[in-house]
Amino acid sequence: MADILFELTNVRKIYQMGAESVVALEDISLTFEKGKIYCLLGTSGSGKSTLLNLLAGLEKPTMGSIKFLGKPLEKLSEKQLTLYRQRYIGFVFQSYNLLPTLTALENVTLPLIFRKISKRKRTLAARKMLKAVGLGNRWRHKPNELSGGQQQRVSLARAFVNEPQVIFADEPTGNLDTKTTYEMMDLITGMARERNQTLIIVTHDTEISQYADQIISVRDGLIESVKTVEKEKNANESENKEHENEDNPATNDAVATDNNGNATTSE
Amino acid sequence: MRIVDVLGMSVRNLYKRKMRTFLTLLGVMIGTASIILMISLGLATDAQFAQMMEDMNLDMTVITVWPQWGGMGWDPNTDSMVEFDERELTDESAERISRIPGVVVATPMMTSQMLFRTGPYFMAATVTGIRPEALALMGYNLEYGRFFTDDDEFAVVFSTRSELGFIDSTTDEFWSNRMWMDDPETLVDIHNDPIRAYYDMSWFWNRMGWGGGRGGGFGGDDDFGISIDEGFTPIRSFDINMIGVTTAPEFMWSSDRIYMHIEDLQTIERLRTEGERREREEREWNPHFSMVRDGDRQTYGEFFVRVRNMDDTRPVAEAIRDMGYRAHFDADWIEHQRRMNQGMETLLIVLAVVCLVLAAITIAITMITSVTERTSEIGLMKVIGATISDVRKLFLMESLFMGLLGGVVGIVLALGISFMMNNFEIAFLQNLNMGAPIMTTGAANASISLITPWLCGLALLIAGGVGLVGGYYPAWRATRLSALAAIRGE
Repeated sequence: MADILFELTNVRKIYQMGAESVVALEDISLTFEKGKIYCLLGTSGSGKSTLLNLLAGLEKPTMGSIKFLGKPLEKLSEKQLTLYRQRYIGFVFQSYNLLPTLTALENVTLPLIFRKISKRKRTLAARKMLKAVGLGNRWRHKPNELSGGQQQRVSLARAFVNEPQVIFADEPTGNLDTKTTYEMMDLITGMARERNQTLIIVTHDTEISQYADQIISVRDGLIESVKTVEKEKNANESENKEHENEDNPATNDAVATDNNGNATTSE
Repeated sequence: MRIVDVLGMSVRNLYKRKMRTFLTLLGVMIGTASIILMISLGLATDAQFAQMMEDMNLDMTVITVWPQWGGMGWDPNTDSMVEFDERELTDESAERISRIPGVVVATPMMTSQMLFRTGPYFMAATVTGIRPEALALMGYNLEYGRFFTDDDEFAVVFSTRSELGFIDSTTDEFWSNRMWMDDPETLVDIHNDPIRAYYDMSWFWNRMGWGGGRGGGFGGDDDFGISIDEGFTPIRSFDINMIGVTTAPEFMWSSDRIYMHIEDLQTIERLRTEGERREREEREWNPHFSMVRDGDRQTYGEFFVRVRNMDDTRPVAEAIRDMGYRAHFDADWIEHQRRMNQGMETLLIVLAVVCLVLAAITIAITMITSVTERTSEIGLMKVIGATISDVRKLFLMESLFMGLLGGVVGIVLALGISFMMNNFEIAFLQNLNMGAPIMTTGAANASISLITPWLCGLALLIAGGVGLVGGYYPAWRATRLSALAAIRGE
């Protein structure tokens, strides 16, 4: 059995909005294994983002326990959580969140700056990373001189640069066009697999969920289903598509709907 | 985060918002420049004051004592208005004052006006009567000859510049202006020319046109061509016995006085008063400086007291005031001046501090705007591993940097303005010249504003402090931002 990265037991998250309490997560028990790709799938308000925030140590559960490599995250101090994110976590956001004053290269080095890595070392690492995401020659550019896809690549490089254990991608393709979305998904999953890193994608897009090894559907704060996507099939499908159709998105869309349909009916 | 990286990122952020940074810098710059200029004005005043003190050669160990005339008056000891009793200065008071600890000598001094003449040359001069034993103690140094003793009769000691006072009676000259010449030609050889002294000044007053109606004049063997009124006085003139030339001590303020034994001068005064009385003429003698005849008891217009050292001056002066006399010493005046200067300086510094507070507020506003604007950036940094202290450092560094940069520009600006103030005569700025500007004869090369290196250092420190103070709250707000909310914001 693979190493367990995260272990959630009876996690509840309740937000207090004035007099009213809103239950974001009802009662969640889950495990995430090392080196796998997960997808938290759900509509907005389903609680998927809350789940991600809890895993990233940005919020604490109201009840229950979240263990990272056996250590309970909810017991860490603010500072320890910051260090935890520094060392083990990489983030990709829907709106890229690059610092506009920094060049692409400097944006990538940012996590290393916080880790007090020397300039020479971090520049080296960042350039390698930018090359890996296909932006080897655009490292001097500021974010506003890059296209959306390029910006997301920079953000990808930033997420991977400190060699994290887990990468959280919160709607990573939300702001991208369809073609770029697939490029991006291929890139991100490819990089995660190559480095044997765990990737947790949060999305409402069933299509994108197909890139995962395991799809965790979240609805109204509860896990609706956990479905393992068959790897071979996934690989075959994408290969077939590439050969047979010029219009990738359309076919992909169809397949995804099918799969999603299957998942819901099986419940 | 390493401090270099904090600095780098701060500079970029400031550079990105150039206009806003510039405006904020302007505020700090004005604040810093104004505080430097305000302090520099004060420093220059102090320096001028010190220079003035030096030029004036004040002797801080001399106290001047006057009789108390009574009535309401200001008492420097208690710094209040007091009803004084009348109190005269007598030989006995001199003795009592001499017994105050710290006093080296307390001597009456009296002054009188006399006319000195040789041939057609004459001089109206102030003659100071002093006790022979006090001369050396009061700081007189002989340049030639000797001081008079109790055995000398009507012996006279000239000052080094006394001879310059002689003028030619055949001309229309009223006063000798040789005193103010660089290398004056003297009319009289005080060592060889026979000089006669006249205590009756009528001729002189007549010549000056201040006659007061008494016709005739003086001079038995009159070369002045004025008839003698015989029987008017037993002695109206005498041949002087010039026995020495002295330099005057600093407290005398004049280098042309003529000195006599105080008893001789008293005699002369008595004769003069007698003569005047006989003439039934009132003449206005300055009671302040002259001896007043009061039966057999001598009273004096002025005492000089020398104390051992500067630290004794104030306690001795206060003791003398407690005895009921008026006492003055230069340190008193200096202190008064200094207090006045300090008052001005305090006012200026308060103004400058107001400027700095405004600068700090400007920085705070700029930084708050910056924090609000960069909410999502701050969130992102927190999410990807910036600690609270990193965030705080980033913002404090920005405000510190603005403070320091504004400070540096402010210093340059202040140096420029200071240079202009010192090198171009700007009338209204001259008025800022505090501290007895009339007396600054050396004002030609005196600075209006004086900026020392330590003042620049201090200003930079203050500017940095203003930056930190202004940035503290915004930085705190940045650290309090929720990472999550910050990310979702966009």
